[in-house]
Amino acid sequence: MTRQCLTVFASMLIASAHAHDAQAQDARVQTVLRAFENAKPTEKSLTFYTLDWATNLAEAKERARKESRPIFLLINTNITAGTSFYQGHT
Amino acid sequence: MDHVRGSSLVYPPVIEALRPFIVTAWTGRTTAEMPSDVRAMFDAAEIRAPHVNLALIALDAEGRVLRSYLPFVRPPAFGFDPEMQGRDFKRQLDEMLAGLRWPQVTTLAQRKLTLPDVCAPGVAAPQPAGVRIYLMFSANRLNHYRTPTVEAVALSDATKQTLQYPTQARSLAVAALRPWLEQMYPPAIMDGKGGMRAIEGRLQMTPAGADSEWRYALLEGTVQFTLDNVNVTTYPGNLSVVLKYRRDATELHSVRGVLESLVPKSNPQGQVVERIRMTAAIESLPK
Repeated sequence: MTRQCLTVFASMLIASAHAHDAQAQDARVQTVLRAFENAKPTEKSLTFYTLDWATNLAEAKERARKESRPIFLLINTNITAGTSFYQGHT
Repeated sequence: MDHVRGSSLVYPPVIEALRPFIVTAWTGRTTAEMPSDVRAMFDAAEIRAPHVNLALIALDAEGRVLRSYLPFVRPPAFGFDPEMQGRDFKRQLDEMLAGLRWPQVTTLAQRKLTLPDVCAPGVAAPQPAGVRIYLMFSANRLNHYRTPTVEAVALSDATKQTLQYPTQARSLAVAALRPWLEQMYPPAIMDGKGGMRAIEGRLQMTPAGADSEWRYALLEGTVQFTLDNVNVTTYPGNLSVVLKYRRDATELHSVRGVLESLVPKSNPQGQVVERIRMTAAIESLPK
């Protein structure tokens, strides 16, 4: 009897520890997801991307013909590091 | 030119002036690298220079050159003030486009975001796929922080295999995420060579609970970045990613995460002149 109680008590302790682990891990998931939502730019900060971008001139020309729209082409050369205007990296 | 993106191009009256257009860009080391279609427009615009700091060309719907312009961009003259730079750029844009008439743009078109995407192969209609990375930066002198840098990279089968649900905690080398991590640097810091010299570290991948429909894993650790620039800039980044799986599957369903870093920026003499806080938000697509 004592032995059975001890076994049950030990099982409860282990289960409790596992439950505590799972809860702690779930809380960390929530923390990271909140950090992601806070880090993601707002629509307002992405105003630059409300321009109607085409990834290259060929795509722009194909769409321009279909949509009867003009094209605005930016060209930049830099012997060290050119700017990718669309993505933003140099 | 990253300062132009963050000041002049994002200046609200400039955005409005460019609304009627389909906007595109080409960048390279010299004009000799231009693809033939860009070269044809460059030649038709009669811009004769081996290097152009910035050239603007307006084309009609048939792809014929209407106007071209070499704006005089001079941030130091305006003390790097984005408002003043924007106003000056708009003045030059107005000069370039004076007298041209465009169709009205609908409100719907104005609201649409056209963000960088990787499209899923083999589908009839293009669908965003892969991983999109938004990079935000603290205020710094060059104004590029005023507009997020956005990159999209493929989520390869090899990466998906590596990120299968972990039945127990395990460690993995950051090399498994290299295509994502090599995007994580500020503009205007590569000074020419481009790319990463090294991306090192190990990440811990652990099961992280479940709910009625999904189970989760966490992927966390410190990444050490070394840029392949003149000053060999190094910085650590703390990565935390939530990986999501269907309860009955080991295959990765989606990804959400962040990377936080403080990137030292040096002057040509190698002295650190500012530290730029960089935050990356990482999400897989479709959402």
